[in-house]
Amino acid sequence: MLVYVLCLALMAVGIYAMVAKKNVVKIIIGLMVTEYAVNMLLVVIGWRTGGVPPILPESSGGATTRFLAHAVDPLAQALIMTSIIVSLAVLLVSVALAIRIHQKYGTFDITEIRKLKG
Amino acid sequence: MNGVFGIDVNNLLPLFVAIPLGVAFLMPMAAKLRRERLLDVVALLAALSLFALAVMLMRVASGSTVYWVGNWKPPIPGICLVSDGLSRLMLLVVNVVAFLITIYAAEYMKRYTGIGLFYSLFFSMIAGMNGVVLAGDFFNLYVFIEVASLSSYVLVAFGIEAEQLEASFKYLVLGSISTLVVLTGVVLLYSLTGTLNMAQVGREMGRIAAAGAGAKAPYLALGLFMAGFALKAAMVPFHAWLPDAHPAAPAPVSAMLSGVLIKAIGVYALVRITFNVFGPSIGAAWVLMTLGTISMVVGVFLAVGQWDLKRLLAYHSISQMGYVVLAFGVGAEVLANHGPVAVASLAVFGGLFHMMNHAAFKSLLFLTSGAIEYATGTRQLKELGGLAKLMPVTSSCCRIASLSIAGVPPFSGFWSKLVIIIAVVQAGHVVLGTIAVIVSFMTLVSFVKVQRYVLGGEPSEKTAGAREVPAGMAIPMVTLSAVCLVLGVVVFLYPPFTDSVIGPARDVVVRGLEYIGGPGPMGKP
Amino acid sequence: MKTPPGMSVIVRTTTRVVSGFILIFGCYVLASGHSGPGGGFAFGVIVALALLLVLLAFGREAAKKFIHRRIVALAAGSSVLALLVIGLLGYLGTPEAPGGSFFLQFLPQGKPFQTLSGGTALLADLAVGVMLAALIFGVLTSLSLFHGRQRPDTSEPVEEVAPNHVDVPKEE
Repeated sequence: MLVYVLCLALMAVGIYAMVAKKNVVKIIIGLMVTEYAVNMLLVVIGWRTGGVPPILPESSGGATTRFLAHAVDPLAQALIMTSIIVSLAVLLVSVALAIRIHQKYGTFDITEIRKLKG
Repeated sequence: MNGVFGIDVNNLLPLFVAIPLGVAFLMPMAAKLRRERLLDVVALLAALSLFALAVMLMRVASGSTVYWVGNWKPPIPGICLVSDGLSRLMLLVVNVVAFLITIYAAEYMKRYTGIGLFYSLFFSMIAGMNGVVLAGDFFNLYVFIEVASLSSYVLVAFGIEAEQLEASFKYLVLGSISTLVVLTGVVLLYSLTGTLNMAQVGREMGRIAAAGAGAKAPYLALGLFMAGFALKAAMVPFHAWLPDAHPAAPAPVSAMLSGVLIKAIGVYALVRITFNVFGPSIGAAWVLMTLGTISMVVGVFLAVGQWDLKRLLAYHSISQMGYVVLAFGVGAEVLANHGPVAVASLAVFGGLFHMMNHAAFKSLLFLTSGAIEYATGTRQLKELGGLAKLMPVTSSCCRIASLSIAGVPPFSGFWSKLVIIIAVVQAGHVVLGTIAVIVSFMTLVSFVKVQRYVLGGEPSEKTAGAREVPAGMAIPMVTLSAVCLVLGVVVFLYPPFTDSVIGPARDVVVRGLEYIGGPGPMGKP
Repeated sequence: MKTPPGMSVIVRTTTRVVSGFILIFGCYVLASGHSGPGGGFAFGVIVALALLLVLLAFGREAAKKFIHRRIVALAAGSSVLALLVIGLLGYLGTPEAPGGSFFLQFLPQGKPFQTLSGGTALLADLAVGVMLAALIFGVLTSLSLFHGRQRPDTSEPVEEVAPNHVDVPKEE
């Protein structure tokens, strides 16, 4: 129970960073923290108490039923894999954008990056 | 029954994603050959093949088909692509508009460098949208939404001017938050039901609702989904990114974004989740109606005061999407109250029809504003004028599109707004119907202003040298204006078209996913 | 004496020795992906990190010469196309599934836990891994090259680009 609350707290920290900070780089860091918090929520949801990693050991020779009763959920971990790659892509795009913004505006401060109004 | 030339059309479903992705990956390498014509030809061929596939699918396929990738059928958790009436309608809309915009972009983007990269991003956006519409399980939905959104973030910043970068960054942060909210909803649903397949989740939802009266967790998941997708669909109060992002993008990209992206990853996903997975419930219906009404009103009032042409069009996108969401909300409410199915069907039909119309006339409006900017170099209303004489083709297309969005008969917008208003009033919400009529009137006022400043009057100094745009840009605009003229009349006077194109989509929404045997009712609380 | 760019002598010597082993370890992780932990994503990240080590230790110019940008771009593009082709080849079908399917496993699957038992999984992993490595290395190299063109002592924006003109870095 506590673990879920901690995941949500981490998400809240990330969102606070995105909302309250003025530096573009800090906003990107906040975005990444939120993404990692969601991934961690996925990990925690797939957990099984006393579970083993979901890798079929060679000694079992392909018999799966008894193994599956102990293993942690593998589908959740496949989802996390994909989600991490997606957040990597978002990170790369946002960092490239931040570099270009610094080239054009000369600053990373979002209160000064305000040419669009209305 | 589903075959053409002996090939089962449903086997070709992955091609909707594979063809544009293939082109997207091919383009950066082909760009090094430095033959721009070759890139244009490849892009046009790919868009044409998608258009042909979508039309063929619409004409040949019927019922719902599930396509399991890699033949991994249940109980193995496999990835499935679903083709039912709603998916086929969305595929048709997305691919037809994408084809026309590709023709336009081949001419318009000659003013930019790096066109290979442009096509690459453009086609990966199309691949993402096709994937969202075809997705049969939640994680596929999430991945394709991200693919489409990432491509759109970069496309908004394509010209690398200062304002475009700022708009793109704002769009990126807000869009990523919404995708994370959706992912949290998916995680929650997975922990509740143990499966990611939309149909199975729908069945489990029915079981959870029937078993325990105090099951609150599905409501949280539904709320998270609605918040995430409402941001993608540009509902107020989640609309803040749209007035900056849509004008900042180059014109074909703006047309794509406003014309199809907010529908495919915003409204379509919202409808799919609310009607098919969770089943229409009173709370969800009221949320949709509220979001729709507020978006309609706020969008149009903020639009009337704008002096930048593309920003005005962007605010109108918010308003028109409000119409669509209101229509779906009313349909959901009637279904949740077990009211007359005919009224719900009418409301859903209105929503779908307005989505189709909006794709046509809003992309046309953005294309004409791009043509105006191409010819005169500005898009501020106060600096334009007298274009009716100087650019006849563009200005008549602009007039047709403006009359269509304002709801003037016999253009298509009038018919779809009429259906929505009738359905809303029949469902008992006379106040909302009145608000819809007032908003329509304000839309007309706003576009009369556009007509007066842009097309009427004498040529100003900026527009004095304007000439008509090249044929490559004019042909898609003329085609889309023909669609605006004809679609409304065809839908009402030619029932076979309606029954084969919009009818199945409406049935899917109202009756639920056929392959799980009915809607998964969350029921009344 | 002008010190070469990058980091100190210790780091450079270690990198010369170690980066090859990191690459080999990445290949091992790839090959055991379908029967143990690992697979395409880990392979891509490990290879990218090995190349990145070279970038950090020897500086930008050496990284440009180590793997030419054209090869990186070509690797990124062609590996993803290879992934799509593997998916489309699934339409050929196997005896159990005539008519084929997208991403069907059409290669024979041997006994489990052998190296070649994954069917198309190994090929798909390879494609994904090469793409990931090329992507990460390519992006980080271009970003670092970007930084090198900015004047460090002023705080003005560097290039005023005319509107309607995409500023693609000249070395791509």
